[in-house]
Amino acid sequence: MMAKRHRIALLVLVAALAGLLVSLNLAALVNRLVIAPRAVRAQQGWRVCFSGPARSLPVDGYTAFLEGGSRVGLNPDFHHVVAWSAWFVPETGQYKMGFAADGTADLWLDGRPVIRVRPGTGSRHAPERWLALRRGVHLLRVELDSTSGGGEFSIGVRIPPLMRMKHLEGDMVAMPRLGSLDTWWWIMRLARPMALFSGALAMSVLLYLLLPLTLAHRSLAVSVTVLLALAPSLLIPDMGRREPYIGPMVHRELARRQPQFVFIGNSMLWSRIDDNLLSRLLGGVPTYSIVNFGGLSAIHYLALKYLLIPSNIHPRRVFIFFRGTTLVQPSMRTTGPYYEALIRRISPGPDAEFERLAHGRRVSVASGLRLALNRLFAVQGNRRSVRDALGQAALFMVVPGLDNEHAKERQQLLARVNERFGLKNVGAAMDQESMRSNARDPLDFRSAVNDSFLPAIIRLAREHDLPLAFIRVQERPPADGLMQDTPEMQRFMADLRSYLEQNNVALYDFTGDPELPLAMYGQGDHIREPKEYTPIFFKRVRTLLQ
Amino acid sequence: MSFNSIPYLLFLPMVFAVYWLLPTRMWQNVFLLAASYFFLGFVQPWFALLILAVSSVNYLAGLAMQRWPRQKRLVLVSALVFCLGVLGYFKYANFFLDNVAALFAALGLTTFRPSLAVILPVGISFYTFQALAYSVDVYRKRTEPQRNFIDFCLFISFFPQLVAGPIERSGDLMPQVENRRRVTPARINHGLMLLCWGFFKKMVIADNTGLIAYKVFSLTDPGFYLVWTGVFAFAIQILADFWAYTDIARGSALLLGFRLSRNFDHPYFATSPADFWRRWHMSLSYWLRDYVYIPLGGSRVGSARAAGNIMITFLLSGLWHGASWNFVLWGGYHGLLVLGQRGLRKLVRRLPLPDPGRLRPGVQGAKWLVTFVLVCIGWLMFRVTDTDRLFGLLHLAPWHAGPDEAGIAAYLFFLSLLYSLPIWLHGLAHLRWMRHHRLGDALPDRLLMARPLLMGLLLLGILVLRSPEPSTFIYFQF
Repeated sequence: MMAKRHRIALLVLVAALAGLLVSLNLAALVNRLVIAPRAVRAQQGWRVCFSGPARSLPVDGYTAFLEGGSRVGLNPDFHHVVAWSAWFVPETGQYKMGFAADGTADLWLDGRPVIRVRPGTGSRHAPERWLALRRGVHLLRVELDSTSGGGEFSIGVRIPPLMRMKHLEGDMVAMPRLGSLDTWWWIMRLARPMALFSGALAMSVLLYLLLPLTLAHRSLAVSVTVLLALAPSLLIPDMGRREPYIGPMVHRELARRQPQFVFIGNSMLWSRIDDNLLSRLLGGVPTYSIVNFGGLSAIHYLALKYLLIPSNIHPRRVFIFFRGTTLVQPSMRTTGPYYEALIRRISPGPDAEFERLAHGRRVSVASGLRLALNRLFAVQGNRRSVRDALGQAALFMVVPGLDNEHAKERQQLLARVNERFGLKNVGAAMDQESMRSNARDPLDFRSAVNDSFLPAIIRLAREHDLPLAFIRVQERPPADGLMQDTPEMQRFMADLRSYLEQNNVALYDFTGDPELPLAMYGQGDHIREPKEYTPIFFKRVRTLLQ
Repeated sequence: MSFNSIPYLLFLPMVFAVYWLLPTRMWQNVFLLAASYFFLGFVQPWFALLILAVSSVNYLAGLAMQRWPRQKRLVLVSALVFCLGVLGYFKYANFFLDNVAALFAALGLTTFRPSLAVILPVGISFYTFQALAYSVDVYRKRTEPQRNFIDFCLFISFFPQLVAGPIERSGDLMPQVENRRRVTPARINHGLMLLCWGFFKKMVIADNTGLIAYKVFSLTDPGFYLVWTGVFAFAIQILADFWAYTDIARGSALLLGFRLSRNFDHPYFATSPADFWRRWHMSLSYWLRDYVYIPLGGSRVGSARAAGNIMITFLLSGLWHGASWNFVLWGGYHGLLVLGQRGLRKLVRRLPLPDPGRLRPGVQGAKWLVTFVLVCIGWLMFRVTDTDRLFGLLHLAPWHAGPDEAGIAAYLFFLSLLYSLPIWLHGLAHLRWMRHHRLGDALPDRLLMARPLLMGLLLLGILVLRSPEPSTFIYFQF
């Protein structure tokens, strides 16, 4: 007669194997058994069928077709044309559609082109259009012609009030109301971890049954099996959005434009320099701005190394815009999902010098190992889904209710949360905290410079014969007078100036400029209108623009 | 080397494998000592030299006290001066100089303020206290001086508890160092379980709630509701973070055959401030009780002096946490809470109150709630290091909030609550069931097979819920 614990173990084994079988086929089963029959009855539903595998399609400011963060990344590094189609089943109403793409692209609706994107419009100004649609099935089609690599497009639609989309893997179905489909959707997203868990459990129980051990030994054997199966996942970092390396695209653009002056910076540069106006002031000499929002010295270093230098152009001068002491704060704004994604966009792979200066670590095989493990465990999508589910549950606790009104209220609350924690409300404090956490006093230029990106930037520029100039922007001045530095900051700037002079690098400091009153400023340290600032820049820095 | 890093995930199995292959206890101890110094020196090689110096001084002090009993007070004072001097220089020198300069400036005197470029050595507050306790115990003849230098150095620098405790006593850890360790499947299993639970608490609970707290305290103008939601998130973060460290330390030690003390006993289920300190960072609380509070006279002196002793102990506890006035304020605040509790208890005893009887659960619930709120107020003092900002936040009232803030705060509160649910459930299970069966944090034998299942769930939890922005352990900075 079999012992009771063996019978239980056998039952667990059967359950684990069944779990493994079910979870491996879960998406297909749910689609076939649950989604498809209900989707036919979903009169107000949205049905979207992709010609290729399911991908995410967000456009900033819009609710996207699919959840998740990544865009449709086609990503071949050669000229390619892609057609993509989907079914769109709305209620009668007005819909605002947005469309953005790299390269030339058209969005077709029911055989008519409705939005066209041509090179130059860029993703920052995604074209939008209001469309009056009747209830029923509409065919969407995107044709993308990309002459460069890393081609991608994104499409979005603003949903009329009281409607809510929900998306599913494979054949995606969105329902106007929360309901059981949501549950199925989450179950499908958890299929991979469930399969892993069931597999580990089945293996463990097999070990338990087969090994002639005591209960304690068996328990340990099972624990070790579970650990070995799942522990490698601990090594996988959250990689944020998958972002393609934009280098080749920028190189081609730079080679095409052959700018004589290149500007590198963040929103400080973006809000100050109007390339077209500056070019006109310079008598038609082309200029080009490489703007990485939020980036500081570490990002500028990568932009110089991987975006500008490989383009093999030889501008007369490269200007780098900076603020305060950030030039000698190497790790500032290099971590977190946004900055990690930005770093992946502007660098083709881990950079040894960047890793050493920004994070004090060396590039090793570990990064490759992490990538491989990530593929094995496929955790990124699940992480995002489960975290989103927790967020939704917390929202539900604040605004309970299953109807559309409450769903809308929850989305509004989430929007308010995002707005409250937007950069305008936290930027200064985060910077201060980041500065405090920096062990070295950033105002002590001499002790900080050797561990910063400044020497590396100067060395790179010298090696590639690129004359450099640093532009210190003026921070937001007081309402009642001119901006003035503290004595510590004056000492910092004197040390910086002397260091740059020794290295034959120019520096211009806009602090205290009488033509830059508070009235010119928009949010924070940003200038309200680049067109007002550009002539002042031209006037002040004319000698460097020869 | 941080526990939540890839190097540690590789380091621990390697140490485990080599350690159990060594034939004798002596070789195991030599290897563990080398591994511990590597663990510490991984960050900065000279950190290992510093701990070697602290170990050597206290080792020699122990032997000298035995050899020259008449001079043992002098020897003890020398060892104390050395340890406290090292701690004072590395941890408090700049704080002291800043305050002296500020004092002179307030008096209208201009002074030259020398700047000391000092990096705080990792774990210094923990291992100096452990070494100090050893010397005091030898002086009090509560422990025999250790003659084997390797064993003594290992006692001070045993890597699992080196960076953030628990602060072990010589009476507990030294015998384990001196005797051959045993490995059993149950112990290893328990160790693995503690490791998983520790990593879950750190990577899922502490890092996620920490992100919420970080965002709230990064706001330039948080209102009343947001501040206290941020405090709640931080309260969860600091508990999960420190408890996680202790669990990983205890789990790692168990794999090597050592048992380390428990440092936490579900502190947020405390029903009074004194109860909280019996459950929070227990090894430090008991250290301060035995080596500060009782030597000062404890509660066996007049009530005014006893109150003074409590305040001194708590102020020192605050200062131990960091060289900043907010920590001193936090310590003083908890001292006042404990004094207030004592006063209240005396008052209640004098009042002719009826026996609570059936009201007892309600009374306990109210006591729990009040204690939790008071502890959270303390965490605000702990979190905000800038005292001007701290007082500004403490002055906020419910009407100091934007129109949407209550909803946003409620959302963040529930999000923190959801992330911390396993800790609350564990606490409730402990309260209702495990404590009743005197199980500590272990599972009964008949539930041994539940352990792998729990481990699998914890690892899956880490897999999908870990924070996108991992952080270092908070107590590393102390």
